[in-house]
Amino acid sequence: MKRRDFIKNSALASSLFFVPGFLKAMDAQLAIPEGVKRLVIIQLAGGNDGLNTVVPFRNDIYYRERPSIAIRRKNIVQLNDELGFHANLIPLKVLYDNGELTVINNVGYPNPNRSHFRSSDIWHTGSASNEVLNEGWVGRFLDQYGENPYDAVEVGDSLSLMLKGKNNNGTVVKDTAMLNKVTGDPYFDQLLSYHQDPHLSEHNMGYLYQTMIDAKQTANYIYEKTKVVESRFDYGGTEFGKQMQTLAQFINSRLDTKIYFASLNGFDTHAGQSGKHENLLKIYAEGVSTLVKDLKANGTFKDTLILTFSEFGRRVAQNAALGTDHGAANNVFVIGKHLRRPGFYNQAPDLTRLDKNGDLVYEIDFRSIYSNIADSWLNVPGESLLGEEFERIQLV
Amino acid sequence: MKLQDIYHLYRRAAFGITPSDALKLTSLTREEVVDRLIDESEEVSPLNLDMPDIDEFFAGDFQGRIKEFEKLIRKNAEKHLIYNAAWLGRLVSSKEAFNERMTLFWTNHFVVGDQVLYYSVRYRNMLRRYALGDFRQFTKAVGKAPSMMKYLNTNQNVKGQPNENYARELLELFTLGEGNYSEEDIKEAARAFTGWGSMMDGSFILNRKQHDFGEKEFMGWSGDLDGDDIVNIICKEKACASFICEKLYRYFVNTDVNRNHVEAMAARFYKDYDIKELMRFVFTSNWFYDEVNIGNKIKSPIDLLTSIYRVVPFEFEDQRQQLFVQRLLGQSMLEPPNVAGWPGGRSWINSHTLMIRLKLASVFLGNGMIPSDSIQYKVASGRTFGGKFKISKNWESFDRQYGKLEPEALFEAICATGITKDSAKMFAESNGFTQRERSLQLMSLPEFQLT
Repeated sequence: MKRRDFIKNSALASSLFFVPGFLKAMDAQLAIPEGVKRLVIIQLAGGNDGLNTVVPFRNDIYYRERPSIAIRRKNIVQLNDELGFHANLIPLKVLYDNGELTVINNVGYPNPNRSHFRSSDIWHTGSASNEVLNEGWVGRFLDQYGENPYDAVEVGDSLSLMLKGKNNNGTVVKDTAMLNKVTGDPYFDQLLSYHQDPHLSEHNMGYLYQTMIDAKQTANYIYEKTKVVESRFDYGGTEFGKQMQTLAQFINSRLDTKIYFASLNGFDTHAGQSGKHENLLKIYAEGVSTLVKDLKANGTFKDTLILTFSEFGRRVAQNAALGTDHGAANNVFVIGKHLRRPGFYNQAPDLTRLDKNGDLVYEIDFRSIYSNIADSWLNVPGESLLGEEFERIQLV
Repeated sequence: MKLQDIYHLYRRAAFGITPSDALKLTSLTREEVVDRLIDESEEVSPLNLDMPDIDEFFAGDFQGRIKEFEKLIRKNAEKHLIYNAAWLGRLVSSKEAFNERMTLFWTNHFVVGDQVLYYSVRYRNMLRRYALGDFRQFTKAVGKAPSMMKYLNTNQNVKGQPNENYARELLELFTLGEGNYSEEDIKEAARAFTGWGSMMDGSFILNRKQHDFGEKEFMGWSGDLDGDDIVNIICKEKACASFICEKLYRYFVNTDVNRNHVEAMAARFYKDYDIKELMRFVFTSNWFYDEVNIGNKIKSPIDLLTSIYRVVPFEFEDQRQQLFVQRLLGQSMLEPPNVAGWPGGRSWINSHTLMIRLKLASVFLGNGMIPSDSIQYKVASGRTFGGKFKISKNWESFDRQYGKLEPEALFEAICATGITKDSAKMFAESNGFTQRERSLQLMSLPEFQLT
């Protein structure tokens, strides 16, 4: 059922004469193109140390600048002559060997911002560093092409900026059974049957009522569709693992959801980095590789693309607390069946040419990646989500 | 003072007020009511937690006995539950409600997460002490608090290889705001905080060997600056007063900022950085009581819980369940998401949290179903909720305070916006509910999510 149809069929039927403001925009919308595939976006929140993730193991500068926290050769899984994964990323090596993983080095944007919150917003909205946008790039997808509140789903506790549009938002889902039970209270039906005021859409009151309508629709749809599909894979019991398992359940239930978002926190390793960071890489690699196995077993991997990013990388030199401070350019992972350039997309970072903060310099604008995914995977013009054209790159 | 304004003031500056207490204040002027509210926080009581074994440990010679201390910390860790419950209880029961409200604000400004309860309790009492004081002294004290030094690694910031974590957040989140300093300022400020640390008992020490005594250049000033100098220089910037005032405005007045109002606040604040006088200025301003500023804010989970309490006092019999509810709603008081704290406003609301929030009152206080005209409710009424929450509730207090109120007065006392005309129509056409059931219906409206 489309969002429009739901409104028609729901207790709000009589309200169509008034057409609430938040529905007006729908009429101008284009439908989502047929055959759209699924995109899963994962954020390594806090600023992942890309140099200790994909390690330049032949680089003297790397070892010189990080005497205590550099990854030693014996803990590296070699990928080519210069670069290797941290050993905890072994599960990803399989994907690399299968041609199902592209690593893009040196991704960033001009005039990098080193605040978590700003830089994260920049990645979420697809803005320039001196520009503040209030809608996420996925939110703009929902505004222009969205049909249902569950077109984009965040598996987590709250809705990230990336999934917020001007008129349409993505949906947060954590516990589908609980959500279904709570939304089923007859009082809410009675209440909504009275609420027809078009002015509600403008302020927080409208936002609350709209969220309530979306929640009722989403809860029922997801609960009914997913209750028969269960994931039988072992995701290791971590919170992130559970999120990946929920994702697998949703995708394998063939929900109409186009874009999923999840994040793994804790990458802000200013102090005592080594153990913490290694553990996070392990959680990430196990979660994602199990997700891929689960999707393959259910025939949904071929239509799923998984993008992993972090809001920034970290400084090349370690600090006195055996950690690293906020940096700039970083690597991005793309996982899928139909990659145009599996393996390394581009050259390793150049440690001889750092910016004046001692950080890596970007080579590929992150918006080129979004743009390519929009054009070639979501089948909508990248320009319609990002406002302008970026250098064309071909990942998918 | 108008009844509606009294409700508004107490919802924002404290944690609500009962109808009978509010009525008593209507004979006073606005200034008198505000003075009264502020004066009630004249003396600040700490919220302490009994940890006699740790007190005893620090009474003796504790030097070099870190292993023993760690053992005591682990032994006391389970008291987090007691402390969490005591804090929430304090919000709704303390005479110093205004100071507690300010403390809650500062908790989400000078954010720390600290697993060591001994430091964490002291940190929050420090916030209580300075909550209405001089912002400059406050900021200096925060920088020297062991919880903060641990959280943002000041205690690992040494000469030659500075750790920028604290310096960056001090400028970006605590004082000036993004865009009002340079990356170079961060590096220089980080040098000024080198060598800072604390003893096991939480007292501040400067490690002279690790401190960088060299010349630093910071925001146009230079010299052998230390951390306190950095704070003094920051506070000379008007941007600092504006940044803090804007944040206070978003929290206490409106998330949509009115520039004129914030600039008026900043002009007042910049004079002496006196937080108490700034807040008096806000609460006595006409614009604070403008229609657009009443009932427009989305409640935080803590606001939601305390506002339900204000209608029907309740208590969790199991403290673990209290923590479970806070986590479910997305605001566990001792577990902030990151150094920026909870963003607030609409971010509290998503399809998941909203529906739980709407059901909360009926689950806590009723039988788990919201009173409605449906068959399901009729069948379920009289049945007690077989749910898992063990909660004692004081409906008798509700009967005394709200039992006799006419519909309009009841709406006004429970919902900050009053209710929408559509909701009013529904209530008018759906009869036969007791006053208790009505209150549950009101607390299950989206209107009740606003304050």
